[in-house]
Amino acid sequence: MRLILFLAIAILIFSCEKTSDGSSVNAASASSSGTGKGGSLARFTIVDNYLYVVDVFTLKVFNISNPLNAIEQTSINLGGGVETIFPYKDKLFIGSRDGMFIYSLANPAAPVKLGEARHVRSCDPVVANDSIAFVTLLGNQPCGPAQSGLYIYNITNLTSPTLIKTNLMNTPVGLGLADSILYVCQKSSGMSIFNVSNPAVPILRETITTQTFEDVIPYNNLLICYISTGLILYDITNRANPVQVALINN
Amino acid sequence: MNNYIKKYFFAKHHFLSFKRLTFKPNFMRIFYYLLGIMLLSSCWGKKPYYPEPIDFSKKVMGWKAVYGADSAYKKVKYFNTPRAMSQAGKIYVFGNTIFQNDVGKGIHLINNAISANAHRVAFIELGGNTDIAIKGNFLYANNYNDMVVIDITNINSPVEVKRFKNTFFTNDVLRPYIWQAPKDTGYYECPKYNNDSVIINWVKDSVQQFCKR
Repeated sequence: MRLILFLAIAILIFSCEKTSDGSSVNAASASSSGTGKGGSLARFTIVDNYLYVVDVFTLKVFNISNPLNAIEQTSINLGGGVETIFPYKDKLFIGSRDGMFIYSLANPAAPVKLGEARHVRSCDPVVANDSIAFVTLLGNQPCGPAQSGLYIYNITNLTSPTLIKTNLMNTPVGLGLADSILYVCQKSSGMSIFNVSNPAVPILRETITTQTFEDVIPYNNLLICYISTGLILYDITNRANPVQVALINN
Repeated sequence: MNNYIKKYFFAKHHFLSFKRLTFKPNFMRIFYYLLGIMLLSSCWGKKPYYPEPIDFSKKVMGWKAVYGADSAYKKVKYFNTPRAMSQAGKIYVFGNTIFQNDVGKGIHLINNAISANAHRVAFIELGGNTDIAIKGNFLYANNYNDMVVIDITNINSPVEVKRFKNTFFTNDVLRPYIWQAPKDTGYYECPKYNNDSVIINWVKDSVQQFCKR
């Protein structure tokens, strides 16, 4: 009886401490021939002859095969709180405050939802490769109460992504993947460099804290970083050891 | 008198008898008291949110939207000189050029032909802009609530070739587009969606207590 009471007390005491936890996914953008490359915070992305734009509630599909006469083709309701879009091969990864949605581009004019990973409310960019999606959740207001961190999903089965690792961090935002190295921006806490050759066990290699990092684009051997004051460029010929080459700020 | 006092106060069953004051600790009872206190205190510091009733008829100091004609503000303007960053925004890369958004103002062009010497070279003024994407010779961007297609065949002379008017009409009060809410906190005049004008600025004024940030 006393044991039960103690447990009850413990539960009651902690019930108000922990608001929630959760996971989410966020995407970065890729490039196909003739298109540029955006960061993981992007709301616009182009795959072949289509421009995909996420508004707060909708995924808008523009047919741009003839740019002079671009056509707004479809509008798909996503439910709200949509933040980012990341293309990978024939898939779109959409980060919303409520989850990560995976859309198939088998018919590029009319994307179809394949699967989703729901999480508690947060902000959430996504990057992905063939089998893994990396998502950062920023659990502070105004985004929502999720536990901030890096959430790693196995997406081998696209219809039901499974969370394989949660790495709690303070203020994760944009992220970028170059081979087996993952760059995670954390605002004033810097940019962390993880070896994710085993995605279930990300290994922190280094954290660069000289700037307030918001987002990154790995672009061949160049890492383009959006910082609070502008841009910083790193040579990532050695993926795990970025070497600063330029700072374009203020 | 003395006897009376003794009789009165030391009587075995009198309600003021000292015996009644003898304290016998009852651990179970203490335990329940503590349980009660813990129950009450476990939520201290986490006040439940009860919104205060708002008198909507009463105006307060806040931010009033200033509207500008679409014809004057929804357009693409190119400057062939670099300019300082006002509020750094999202990045995009295409060929040897890096594009960086200046939140709500436009796009900085950065020549990245030689990364060690990367530098800003020009600015495309595009009000309300936050996002871009490029394919071939065409740049797609938001211009307030419009989507524009800009021909960048000659990057020194971008030309608007197509415009989707009022295509971004949604407003998420938690994360509004840059032009949908003032930078500073407080009440603000909720955005109106007109066919011919758009919010270009916010000024201090008395406003109704609806939209808030």
